[in-house]
Amino acid sequence: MIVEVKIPEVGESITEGLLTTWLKKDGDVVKAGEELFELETDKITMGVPAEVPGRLSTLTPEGETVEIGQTVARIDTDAAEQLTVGAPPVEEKEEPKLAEEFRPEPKAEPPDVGEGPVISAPAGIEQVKAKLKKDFQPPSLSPTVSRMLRENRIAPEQISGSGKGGRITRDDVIEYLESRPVKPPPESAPEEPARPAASAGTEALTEAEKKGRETRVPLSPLRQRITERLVQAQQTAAILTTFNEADMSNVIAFRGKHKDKFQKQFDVNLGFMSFFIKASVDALKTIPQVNARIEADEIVYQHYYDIGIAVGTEQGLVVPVLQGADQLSFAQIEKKIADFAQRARSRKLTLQELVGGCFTISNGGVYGSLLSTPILNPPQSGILGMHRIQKRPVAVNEEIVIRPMMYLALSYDHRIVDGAQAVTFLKRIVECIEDPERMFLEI
Amino acid sequence: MNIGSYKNDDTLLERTRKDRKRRIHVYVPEQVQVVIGRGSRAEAELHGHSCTEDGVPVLRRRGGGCAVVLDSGNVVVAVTEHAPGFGNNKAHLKRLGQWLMHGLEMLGVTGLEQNGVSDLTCGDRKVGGSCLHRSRDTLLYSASLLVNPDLSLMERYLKLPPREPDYRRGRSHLEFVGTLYPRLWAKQTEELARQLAEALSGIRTL
Repeated sequence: MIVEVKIPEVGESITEGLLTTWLKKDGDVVKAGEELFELETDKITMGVPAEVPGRLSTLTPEGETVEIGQTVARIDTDAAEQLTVGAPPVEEKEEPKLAEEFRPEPKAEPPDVGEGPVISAPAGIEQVKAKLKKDFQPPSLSPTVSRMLRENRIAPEQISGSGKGGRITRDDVIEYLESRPVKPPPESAPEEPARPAASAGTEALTEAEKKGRETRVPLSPLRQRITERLVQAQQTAAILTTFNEADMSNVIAFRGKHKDKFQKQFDVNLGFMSFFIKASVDALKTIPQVNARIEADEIVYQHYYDIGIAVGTEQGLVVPVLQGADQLSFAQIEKKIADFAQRARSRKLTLQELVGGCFTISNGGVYGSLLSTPILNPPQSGILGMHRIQKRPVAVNEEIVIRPMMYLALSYDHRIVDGAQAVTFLKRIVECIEDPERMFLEI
Repeated sequence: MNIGSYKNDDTLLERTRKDRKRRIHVYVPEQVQVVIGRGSRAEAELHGHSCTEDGVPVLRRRGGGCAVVLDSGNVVVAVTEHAPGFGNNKAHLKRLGQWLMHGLEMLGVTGLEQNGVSDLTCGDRKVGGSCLHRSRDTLLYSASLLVNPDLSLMERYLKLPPREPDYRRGRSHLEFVGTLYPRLWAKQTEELARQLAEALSGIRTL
């Protein structure tokens, strides 16, 4: 019987390709699964295999543009009797034949002939298929393996069994799950949806899930990013934290005095964050090491002041960046922050707004945190932690008085910022916050 | 002109064929070499006499596309996966390109886009190219990143390509390509390769 070899459908509206190389010669006897030729479309090459065994007659020369569905060769299956079938496709031992090209010595590897049955008697293709079907009837599955396959939506044919007679074992399924590509984005999903890679504890966890003691939820892209960034920060920088505290009385008084006029004039609330951003810019100018980053064996001093503001959302923490904070007024800063917060929670921040940044401010105080040690946002060298304002007794002018106090924490990369610089930086912020008017006078 | 085979990814490919496991290999080419696509005509794409004169090897890769120059300023990312059939090729290129961009983003490179069939671009400059090879239920994705290569070699060894993406707009090699170097935290290609391998192996969205 003559079987036509056609250019396969490759999808995605591709209608033609280039037949670059015949991997088998005209007149060769080929086995089912052996690659016959290479097809190139755009930057993609494909080795197209024979669907049936037999003798090959090529119809199209190398280097010719071919259309999808075009017949480029024929295979005479009556030559199948010359074949040893049932074995896995033989390893391609020779590089594609390319005219006038030098080829290094082929690898001296033994041919991979497998252990399949051998049919030596003349056989037609139907007989061969029947024999193959009989010989490769899948072995039965154990109840455990059946359940694992069912739960993970895996067809038995997808797994090579390593048990007796090719039987699929529990370990085979686990190995398959571990090796299976992780779920791709939906719009480009060539593989089946994947659960998180299973481990040796698959069965126990499944039982636990059934009992409702645990719930497995895939990491969201944002949570993955957070995970990666935090671990990267911990592994890269020498993070150290210094603490101080600020008496918030003057800022509170200043804010109380002007907030109504501010609100009326600028249509935005005057919060505390803008004071801390202004104070941070001031401190960054005073201690430029905190506004620098390490790149390989160099220190890069940044002469701009892009400040990241950590914003908590239901999905996790995001850090939009307030660019050119030194150029912005209090009102502009407050408007930007309000906009960031709103769009962060509705997940409408753009990637551009989330990248870069020289320094970050994180306010755990909105959640009630009294003290924390923030983690750097690489490659930045400093992050300021704001905290809850708490009325506490403090000594002022030899007297114990009650003041609204806030602990402040500065985590910094000790590779680039010395301890004295870090302490001075944080002290400068405290000075600005405790005497906010100096920020307007820039003193 | 002698043309050899680009064999750096063969071991990776063979292993995945055998056990169907996905593998990633990130490496820096050890020497200057010109690598042409599977169907490339060397005489149409190369200044062959310059390659011969400089003793630069010309190798043919498994994937398609036009000729590139690789040197120690490039980082190559190769991925093999079990992937039956021939479909979804552009989807695979897009998916793996996004994965690569995500990895680079973790190393400080932001603002990358996919352009043309499978180029990585920064603005309108190409900073990386990639290709795909499908064979025997296995996929080989190979991308080369222009980290800090000697771009003058492109002019010396490569002719203007016989086909180009729309966004190239007939520009010369030097007008068309850019480098990742100014945008990276790591400044040595070996260090970048190590960091990128680490980052990519940790990204679970592939």
